[in-house]
Amino acid sequence: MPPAKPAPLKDHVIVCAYGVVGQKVVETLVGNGIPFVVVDVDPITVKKLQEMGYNAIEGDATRSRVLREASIGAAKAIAIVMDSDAKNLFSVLAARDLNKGIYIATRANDEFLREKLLEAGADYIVMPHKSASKEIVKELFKK
Amino acid sequence: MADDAQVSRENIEELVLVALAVVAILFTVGTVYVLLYLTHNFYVSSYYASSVLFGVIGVDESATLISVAPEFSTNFYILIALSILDGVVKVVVIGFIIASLIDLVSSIGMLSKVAELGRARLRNHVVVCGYSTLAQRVCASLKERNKQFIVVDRDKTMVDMASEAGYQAIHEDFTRKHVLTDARIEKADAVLFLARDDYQNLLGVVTAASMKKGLKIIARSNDKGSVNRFHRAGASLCVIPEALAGLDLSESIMTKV
Repeated sequence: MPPAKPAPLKDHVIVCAYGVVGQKVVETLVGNGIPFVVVDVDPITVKKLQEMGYNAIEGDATRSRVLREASIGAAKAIAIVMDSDAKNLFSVLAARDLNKGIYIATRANDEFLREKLLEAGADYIVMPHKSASKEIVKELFKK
Repeated sequence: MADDAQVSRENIEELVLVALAVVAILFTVGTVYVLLYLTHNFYVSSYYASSVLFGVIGVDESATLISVAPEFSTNFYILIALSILDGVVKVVVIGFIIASLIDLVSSIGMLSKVAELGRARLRNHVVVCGYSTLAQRVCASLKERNKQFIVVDRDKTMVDMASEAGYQAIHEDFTRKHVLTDARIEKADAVLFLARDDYQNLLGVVTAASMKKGLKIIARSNDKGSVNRFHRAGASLCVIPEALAGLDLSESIMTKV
């Protein structure tokens, strides 16, 4: 019997993709008791999350239908953290269209795409290699 | 190596042919010029052109054309032929001397010897293993801070990229002891293993840790399950770029919810 769809959420966070970045976001949200729903294309990942008691939806976060299913209209924030910069861009555009006031945090691998994501409506962008490079240099110059 | 020598020889032969073609063109142009503007005597023009071009003894280029031109005689043909031959021989001999020098330089690996001399000056530097996107950012930061470093990568394309960026780079496998020795690890402050492959990075950490006690070793991993392994192998820090990004992103979200 397929698991029941999660009840509509409010003031929650949507996490698009449960990769390494998404997992860290979920850890933080769980640790702080913030309601959230994860959207992922992989059915095995979604099933695992549901078994852990988390809200999870199987679907492509670039599709408006899927974001509506995640109650984007009532969400406070969305973390769009797929591996592909192009998909993230698509998703940012869709999310901004569906909820003008939502806080959109996303990731980019490329400086050029970072600019495009900002133009598309993202509020905060992380670049994994930039973050890691900062940590490494900090460690190198630590007394 | 044999292919490189073959290519080098072919290049030299091409250069010599080009040199001969240039000489022939100059001779023709010189002869035609003198013929059109100074004298209408073909023999005098060609003699003058070859004299100037090939430096026949006794000819003074600043003298007037008529005063240096010989009287026409049957010896003229022999003189001009010898003059041209003399010049060609000079060009070819000089060309082969240069080619031999180039062969000598490449056979004794002069360029790599020069690179080794450059590496011998490295001290308190950082060895960056794996010229990944992350490594490129780190190298840019190190350069800004005037910190000496050297890049090691087994991918020639990456090594070329590093060299084009103005960095010292070694095209070798950084998991080998002798390669880290070449990178002067014994004088380094730190070594970074930032390749995309966790296995390579881990092997590099193990190798480096066995070579110098107390060396700061920083590695990159793609999997949080591997972090303990890197620490046990000797890494003082193991970064997972995506995990750091996740923490950063989470902090920003927490300010809004």
